[in-house]
Amino acid sequence: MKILLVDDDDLANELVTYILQFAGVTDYTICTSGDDALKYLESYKQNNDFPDVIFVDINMPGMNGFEFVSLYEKHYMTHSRKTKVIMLTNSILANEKKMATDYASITDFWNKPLTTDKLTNLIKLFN
Amino acid sequence: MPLDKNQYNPSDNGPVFYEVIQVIIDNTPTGAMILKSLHSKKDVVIDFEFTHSNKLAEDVLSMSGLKGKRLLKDFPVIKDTGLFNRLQEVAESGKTLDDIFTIRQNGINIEIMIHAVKFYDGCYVTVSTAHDDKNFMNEYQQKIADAKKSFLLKLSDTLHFLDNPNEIISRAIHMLGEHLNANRAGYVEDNGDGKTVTVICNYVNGVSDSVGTYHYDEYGTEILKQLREGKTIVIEDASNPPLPAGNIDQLQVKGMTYKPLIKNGKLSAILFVHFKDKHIWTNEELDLIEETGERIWTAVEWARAENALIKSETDYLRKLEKEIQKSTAELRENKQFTQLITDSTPDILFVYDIKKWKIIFVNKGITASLGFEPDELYNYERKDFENLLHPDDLKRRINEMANMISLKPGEVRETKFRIKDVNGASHWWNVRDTFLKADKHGKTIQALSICRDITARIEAIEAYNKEKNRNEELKRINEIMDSFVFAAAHDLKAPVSNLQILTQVIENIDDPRQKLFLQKKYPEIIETLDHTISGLVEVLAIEKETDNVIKKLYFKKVFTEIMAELKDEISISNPNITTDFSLCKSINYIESHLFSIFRNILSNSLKYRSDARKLSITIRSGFQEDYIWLSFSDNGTGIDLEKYGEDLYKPFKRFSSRTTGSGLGLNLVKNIVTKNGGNIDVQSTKSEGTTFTVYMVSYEK
Repeated sequence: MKILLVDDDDLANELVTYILQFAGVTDYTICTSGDDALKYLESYKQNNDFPDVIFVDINMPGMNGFEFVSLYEKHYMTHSRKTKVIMLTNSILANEKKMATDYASITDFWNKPLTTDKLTNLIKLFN
Repeated sequence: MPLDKNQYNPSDNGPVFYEVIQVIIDNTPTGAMILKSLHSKKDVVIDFEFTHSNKLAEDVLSMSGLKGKRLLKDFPVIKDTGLFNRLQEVAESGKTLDDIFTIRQNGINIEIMIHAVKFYDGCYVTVSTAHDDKNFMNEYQQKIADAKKSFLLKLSDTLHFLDNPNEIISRAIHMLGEHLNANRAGYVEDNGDGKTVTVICNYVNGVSDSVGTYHYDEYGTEILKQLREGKTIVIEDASNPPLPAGNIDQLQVKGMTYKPLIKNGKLSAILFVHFKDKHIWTNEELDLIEETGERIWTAVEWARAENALIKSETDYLRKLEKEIQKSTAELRENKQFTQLITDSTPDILFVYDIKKWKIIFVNKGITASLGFEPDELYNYERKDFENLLHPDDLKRRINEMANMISLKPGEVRETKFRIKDVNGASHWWNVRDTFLKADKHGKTIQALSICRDITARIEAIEAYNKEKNRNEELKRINEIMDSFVFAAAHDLKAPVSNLQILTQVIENIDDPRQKLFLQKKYPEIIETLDHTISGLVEVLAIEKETDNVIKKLYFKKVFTEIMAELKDEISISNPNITTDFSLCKSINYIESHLFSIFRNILSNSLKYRSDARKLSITIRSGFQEDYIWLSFSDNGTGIDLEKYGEDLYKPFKRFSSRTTGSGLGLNLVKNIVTKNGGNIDVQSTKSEGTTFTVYMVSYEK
């Protein structure tokens, strides 16, 4: 299972690597901004090797999570129909949930933190 | 041949002697004549008869055929000269006469040198100087001409100022009679019946008045015929040959001249001059009568035409007067109608004389609005009116009024201003200025202002707006609080969630070294939590500030204290910090607010420094209009304003992931500055640096 994590919180990202390992995920990439993530996706596109799940933090400085998803859908979604986008947030706001319905790629909203249990369940669903 | 008075009696009329005498007289180089004494029964000389005379003598006396004429009888002018008495002396006592006598003839005085000696029963008289002196004769003729001219001028001058035809005729006739020394002069008008004429006025001197109606028949058909043909009738002696009988006798005159005035081929009027005695008419006299007649006619015609014109003008004026009366009545009715409207309208009506800057009309509406009586504001001038205007609206309203001169008919300019009532309280007026009257050049000279007191409406709107604003403010605060609370929750949750995940990881790791490494992450997370909480506390402190004491704060002092507070952050980047508070050293402000401004903006400069260069910060102050400004410039990373400008001052917005900001700093500064009546401006270029300029209003101490 291949995972892309987009979050500006360096500490959270560092800790998430442990959680990924605990859940047995080895193929993952972590980007600290939407810009960086789009660059990575560009490289996936060349190899036609898109991640199965993209975790996106909504609240990021600069390009926020939704802006990233918007660009992702515009440039890469047609190449990665199986990819699921899961929004990560510290607080799920009603209007954010509503906004998410405008994005075809977003499949779920997860409250932070990203725990081993949640990841394990997700992997189970994939397998 | 010498004459022997003893041998010859001239009264014998002997043919030889008579002829001899005549030859002698005819050849005398001066005027010469022989006068025979005529005695009364008491042998007193009562007159002289001309027995001989030469041509020169006739010339000087303006009379031909002197022979047989009598001196006193035929020359009445002699009477007052004293000549007769002197000649009487000559004839009776033989005394020689040598003197100059003034005789008035044809309206002028002529001086004649008389030399007389006794000659038988009478006098031999030479009229010297006058007869052989060409210059004298010329002068004499000239004198006659001048007298005529002078009379005619005087006549014209007199008639010119008269407009009553009867008065013209009367005055002219009088002047003519006097001038010719006539016994009667008159003006006759043809009655148009072919039979009668009427003497409408006459001048009389020693004869009876002749005003009345006469028949032509009394003068005979020949005379009437001649008059109708325009011929002047000149009669030297009406008794020889006698005129047809009738009223003529009543006229008591013998010398007559009738000058007909023919107009349009018809005999219209006759001017006549009478002498009681027979009269030898000179050409000058006849000319003068003719000229006078023409002038009378012309003057009368003029006067009649003028009178007709005046009559038509009078008629016109009467008609006009009637129309004016009618229009005045209509106007009065209109005025009453206007008065009714102006009195009953709730609006205040002002009429201004723009040129004189005066209020020339105010209606009763003023009383309801401001409590003044209309009369109190009547004739108000600019300075009076200025006293009534609200100071904030004065300049504008005065300008508007000055510009009324450019109002065009039909144009309406709407405005609002405040005006003081009789107690000094302000009233809002909604005003429509409109054109009222222009001068003959089309320049607007009067304007009408229709004013409505909208104070109650404005107060209602203000109350409504205040309520609305309060509601909106509450709504805005609620929205801010909502987003703030969510944002705060979000930012508080982030470190909490990191604590959760860290705890979970540590629990699942067996390697003690790795565990220890991870345990060191706790303080980092707690520091983030602390930053966020500190930011929130500051925001709440500012919002809930109760100790809002205004102090005079010196920028230099505030800066120094903040530098001490931020010493740890400063020690990391060791920036060059320059300050220049020379233009403005201090401000009256809430202390905690000014500290917060310095703290947050400086703290941002320290956080968002560029790795490419040593951080440099410049802080300056100054004045701009009503504001005191503070600018903070750095050479840091800069902000992409195009991208993040909108969100720059929103709470919990961070534009970089490299630092641990709470995302509250700029939001806080913006809130402080706007709350205190100021504003904040940002200039930034990515990778070059940022300048925040804070505009603050200094409080009055």
